[in-house]
Formats: sequence, structure tokens, C-alpha cells
Amino acid sequence: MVHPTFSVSDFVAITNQTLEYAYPLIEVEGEVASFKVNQGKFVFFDLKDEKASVGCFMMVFQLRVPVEDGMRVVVTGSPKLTQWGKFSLTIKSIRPSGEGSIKKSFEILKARLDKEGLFATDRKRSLPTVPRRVAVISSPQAAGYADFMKIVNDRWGGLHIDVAAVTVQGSDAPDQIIRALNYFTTQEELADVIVIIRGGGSADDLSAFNDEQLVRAVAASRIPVLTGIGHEVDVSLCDLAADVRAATPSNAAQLLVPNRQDIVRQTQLQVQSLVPQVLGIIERLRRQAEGKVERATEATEERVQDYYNQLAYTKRLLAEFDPMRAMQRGYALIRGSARVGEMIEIETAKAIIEAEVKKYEQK
Amino acid sequence: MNKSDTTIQQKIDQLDALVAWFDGDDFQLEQASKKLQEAAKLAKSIEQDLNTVSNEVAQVKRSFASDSAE
Repeated sequence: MVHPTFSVSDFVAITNQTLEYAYPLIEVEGEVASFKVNQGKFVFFDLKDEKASVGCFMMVFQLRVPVEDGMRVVVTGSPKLTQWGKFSLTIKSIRPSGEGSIKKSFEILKARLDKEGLFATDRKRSLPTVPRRVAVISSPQAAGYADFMKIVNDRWGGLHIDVAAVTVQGSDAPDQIIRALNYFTTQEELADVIVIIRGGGSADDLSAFNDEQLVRAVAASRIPVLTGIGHEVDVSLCDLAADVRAATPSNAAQLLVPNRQDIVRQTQLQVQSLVPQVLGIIERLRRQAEGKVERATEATEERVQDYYNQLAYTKRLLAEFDPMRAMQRGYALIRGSARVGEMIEIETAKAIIEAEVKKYEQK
Repeated sequence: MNKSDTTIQQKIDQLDALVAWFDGDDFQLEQASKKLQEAAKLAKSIEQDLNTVSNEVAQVKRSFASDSAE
């Protein structure tokens, strides 16, 4: 039997060719050990389990989630033999695996982004009361999308909704969602709000929404972002970076648009309340008019009474000057010339007497 | 969309303004009946729009699976 003979370079090349043909892309799950970043660009670590260990290499920009020693991860990459004869995995993407690692990675990134202020409440913008143009980023085949659209259509009409169909799970999801965000934020006619929708799933299913670049893209969006991801208990980093976080896709629909029946009831109540309001105004004006008439009547009566009082006073005054009243008290009224020998007339209360002046003396 | 160019939100804003007129300094009893009729007509129109208008949904044609735009 003739064995093939290669140069070392050819052997490395043909081995890589064989590996590439047999395993173009594989996923390997294991625990991270000896994690290090060289020159701020190159990431090296070992992936190991109880019996074996394999070296891994990747670029820093491909590292989308925090990774540290002891963390359980799933890597996606290609096996490769280097020119120095060292076997390694060239990693395309890495994601935490298992509840403990996912949580740990989540907490590390959360703390870092929080420190940068990406989740600060004063960055949050409010959503328009009634948007006219809505951009939705979701998987149209997903149940969460169907729930969201059903409730939006039930609650409100007249919206223009643009839907970007993306995958919302797996290693491709963050980049697809980022591209959709970039698409919507660079359109000539901007949407009033971007809604990111994804139904419930496991922590691993939802881990795409904890991708650092995606979280940064959500925080940087020039259009307000509303998220409806998973169930009420699932809070992703995208939720924290969004302007408004809905508990579920259905809740996102409720937060996005008002309920048309509520608006109908509200407008009817507004109009119905106007009739008693106008009647109230009429009643108030009627009372004001009545009050004025009453005050005018009272003033007239007072004026008449004043005239009566003045008349009575004048009458009393005139009576005081009546000579008859003096005569009745014994006085007499004398007419004629008060010279000796002249005849005078004396009038008393009961008689008129003629008399002659006998004597006249000046007092 | 609505038959007229006025959106539902604009009609709601108009109704709010009409209702505010009844509480404002410009209120005149002589105009109240006319304004009341306008408000009732607007409310009816809003109800009709809300009950008949539907949403327009369009799926973006480009693929987001890769960086290249369609």
C-alpha cells in the first residue's frame, strides 16, 4: 500500500480542507478556561469538559456577550489546524449556556451598560399618544407577532405599519434586528415609534435580546423604541435600554395605541356633559336676572317710602304753622291798625270780635 | 383611512377645543347651541371613523439576513 506523502504545509492545508468539508460550522458546548484578550483585538480561551480541552480563537468584535473563566458557553465556529500545527476552533459567535452562565453574563453586561447610563430614566422618551406610522421588528411567523397585531387591529385603526421580518432567536438574531433598526432610522419618512416584538421562550431563546451591540443600537435609536419581549417575568437588556418596556407583545399593543371603544365612550361623555353644563349656565344667568329685578323692585319701594316720609314730615311742619292751633290754645289773631281810636278785629278759636283801640304803649 | 383629510386625532383635538370653549372666557350663550351641535357631529364622526378605519400593514421587502440591501 502506497501512503500519500505531503510537505508539512500541504499536510496542514489538506487537513484544513478536510475539516472544512466535514465540519464547515459546528457548535461546541463547554466551560471557558484561560480566557484572555491580546492587544485589545484577539480573544483566546480554552473550552473544556471533564475529559478534554480545545483551544479557541476569535476577534474581540465578535464577542457580543461578557465571557469569563468558569462560564458555560456554546461556541459556533470552524475547526482549524494552524501553521504551527496547533489545533483550535476559530469562533464566529459565542453565547452563554445554562441558567447560571446566562444570568452571570447578563449581570456583568447589565452593570457595565448601566454604569454608562444606557438605562437611565432621564433618557427615556414617551411614546406618542396616537402614532400614525409604526415600525415593527419581529418574526411574522411567531405567535407573539400575531398576538400583537391582533390586539393593535382590535384597538385602533388608521395606522401605517411597516414590518421588518427578522429572526428573533439564535446567533443571527441580534445582527438582523440591528439591521432592521438601522433601516427604520435611516428612512426618509420616519416612523413615530419602533416596536420590537418577540413571544415567550426559554432564557436561551431570549438571550439574543441581551446582545451588547443590539442593546446599544436600541439605546441609540433616534426613534422611540417600545419592546414587547417574552413574558412579564422576562426582562432583557433591550427592555432596559428601550424607551418603554411592555410586559408582553399583547401589552405592547395596549401601550402603543388607545382602545377605540374607550375613545368613543370618552367623546360621547364629553358631548353629553355639555348639555347639563349649558343648562347650568342658563340657570345661573336666569338667577342673576331674577336677582337684578328683585334688587330694582326693592330700590323702587325704598324710594317711594322715602317720598311718603318726606311728605309726612312736610305735613307735620305745615301743621305747626297753622294759626288755628295757637287760637285753640287761647291765643287770638288781631287784624287792623294798632293806633288809639282805630277799630281792630280780634279772632279767637270760637269768635270774631270787633274792638276799639283805647290805649297804645310801646313795650 | 378617513374619507376626509382630517385624521381621527385631529378630530379628537377639535372636539377637545370645542369642549374647552364651553369653559372658557369666549363662551356666549347665543353660540352654545351651534357649538353643541358641532361637538355632537364631531363625536359621531370620530365614532364612525374609529369603527370603520383599518390599519395598513406592509412588510419591508429587503432581507435583514445579511448586510446587503435588496
